[in-house]
Amino acid sequence: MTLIDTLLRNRPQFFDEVRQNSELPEKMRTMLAASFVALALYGVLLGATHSLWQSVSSALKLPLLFLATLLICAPVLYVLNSLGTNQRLSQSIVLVLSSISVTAVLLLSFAPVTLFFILTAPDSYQFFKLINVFFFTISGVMGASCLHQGLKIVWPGQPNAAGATRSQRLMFWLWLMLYGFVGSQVAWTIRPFVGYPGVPFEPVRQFGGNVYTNILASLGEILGFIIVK
Amino acid sequence: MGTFSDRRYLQRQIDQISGGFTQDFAVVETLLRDRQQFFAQIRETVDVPVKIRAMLVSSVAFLAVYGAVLGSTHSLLQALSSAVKLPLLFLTTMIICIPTLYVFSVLFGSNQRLHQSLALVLSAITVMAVLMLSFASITLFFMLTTSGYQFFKLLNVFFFIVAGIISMVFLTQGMRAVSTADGEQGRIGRRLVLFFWVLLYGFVGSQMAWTLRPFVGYPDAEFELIRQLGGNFYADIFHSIGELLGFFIVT
Amino acid sequence: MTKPITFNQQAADATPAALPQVRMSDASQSGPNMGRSLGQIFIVLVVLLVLVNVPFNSASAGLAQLLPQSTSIVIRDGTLLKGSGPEIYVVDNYKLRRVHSEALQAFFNPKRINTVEDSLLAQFGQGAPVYRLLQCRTEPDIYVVEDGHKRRVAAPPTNPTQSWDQANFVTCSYLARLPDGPTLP
Repeated sequence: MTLIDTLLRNRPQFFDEVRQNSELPEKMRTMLAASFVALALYGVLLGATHSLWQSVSSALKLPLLFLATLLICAPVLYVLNSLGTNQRLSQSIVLVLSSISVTAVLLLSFAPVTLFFILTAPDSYQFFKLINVFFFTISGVMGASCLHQGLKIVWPGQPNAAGATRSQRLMFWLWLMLYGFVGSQVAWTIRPFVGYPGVPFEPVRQFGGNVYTNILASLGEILGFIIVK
Repeated sequence: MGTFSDRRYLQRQIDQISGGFTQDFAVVETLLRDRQQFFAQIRETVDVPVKIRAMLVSSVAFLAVYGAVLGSTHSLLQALSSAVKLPLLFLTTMIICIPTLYVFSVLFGSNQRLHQSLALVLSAITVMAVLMLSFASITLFFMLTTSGYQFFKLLNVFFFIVAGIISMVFLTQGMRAVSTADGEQGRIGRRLVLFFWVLLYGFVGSQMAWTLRPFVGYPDAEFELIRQLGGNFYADIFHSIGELLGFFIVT
Repeated sequence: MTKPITFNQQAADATPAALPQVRMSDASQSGPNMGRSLGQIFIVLVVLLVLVNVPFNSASAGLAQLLPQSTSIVIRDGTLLKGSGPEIYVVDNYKLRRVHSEALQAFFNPKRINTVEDSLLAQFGQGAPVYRLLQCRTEPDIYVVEDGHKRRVAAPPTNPTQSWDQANFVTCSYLARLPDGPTLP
């Protein structure tokens, strides 16, 4: 937990350690565990408006979402990381995990607010979805900005022949966009996270379908105005 | 005693084969990580046949995997056929176009031997193959969870374009690194040759891809080894975008 | 072409692991681990490919080919759904409401009825049926017309938000001409 504390309070120190490759496996393990726990706890809240089963299912789905996307995009991360550098993959993974951890912890910090709205405004599916989208967006943006800071420290722009350069940072951002792209499809595939009221619990809404073929409908589903079957 | 030595023999064979593969992949990885040294070695003609063999094996293997992913949407037969067709596409296009590159480079004062040019072009193809291998997991995921044929096609085109751009960067850097041993004269000419050759490769390659269709296999259609319709690669991509945006349908 | 000594050494070695790693940092990938990650990615993908293509269906289709060609239905307030029976339902506030034929003609586009499986319909809660509500300007009662009879609605919706819950005005003579039917709750 002190690691997460350092990550939140004193990011330059954290990223300095990452740059010096000190204790990377421990960092990875701690951040993986912390983000899992934080996301699972928030998932419980997401499903709470619907039913107990939905809470359990969302608690499993939210960490699964991030992990599955990471696994699917991992080969690309490996190849992009190897282009022109002699670096191991560990630094990249620690950077990704640090950003996910920050996002997860920030999201969890919104949990009291979400709980408040669950208790005081129980029948507003749309509103609930809207505020959750808002919280996710804020946490995600903060996670990305933390990552931006970290990238500048871990991979400063030195024209090193077999080390890190600005192109490595560029590759990382490109990978991050790919991560977002794949992540939205993963989220679409394993929806619902917030149960549709009046409909009994369904672990996964009908398989098939694609978040990008009908963007407007997908946005409508995400914001709670409609559901897409 | 007989079975034990048989098993050890088998184990040794497996180790040898996987060791061979690992060696080939290791060459590819040095290409990725330290390309300046790789190109320097090609320039000094160090181990060029070893490199060529390693890159051939790796690119065939990686492109076959990606082809199999492409074809899996349709059927097992399509997966196998695309696994054969995709490496075939790249390598035959290369074979068709390489004489042009070699002769024109020599015309403009290059000191390269043919196997050096071959190694350079093959290195670009290998880089593309490695990138496609890494994209394969994403394509596999989309294949399993979505059902939009046009979306899938456009996703693949996007991946091929990205991999193609990066491999072109490798090719130009490689050519530049290897031709530092050549004279100053005709250097600009050689760069122009490379530029036009890349266009030629793209042109021949896209038509070759069109001829070798299908790779993905239109759903609900029967398996066909080579589609018999005529047409043209560029018109089809335009139509795909149009269909995805809802303008018209393409068979 | 003269070659430096180091390169000759390499040619003799013929193992990629012997490449000089001059610019190594602490976290560098080198030695016998080179190529192993690529090999691992390759093997994992081949295994996945085999798994998704294994035919376990009677139609000899593997997991990869099983995915239906699904077009998605958007479900929002006002979507018309129909199951295997003749009833048509409209989605309203997460509930299904049965739509009467007159209301269907008046408020909805019959072309936009989505036929879905009964299991999907069963998942929704049931709401009050949708009728075409008629009202005469001079009288306060609201009626619906069914089978040529007019039926008085005992408890009409007080604050209708949907367009189909709002009463349409007709001439009192039209209403007067219709025989009475039982009242609707």
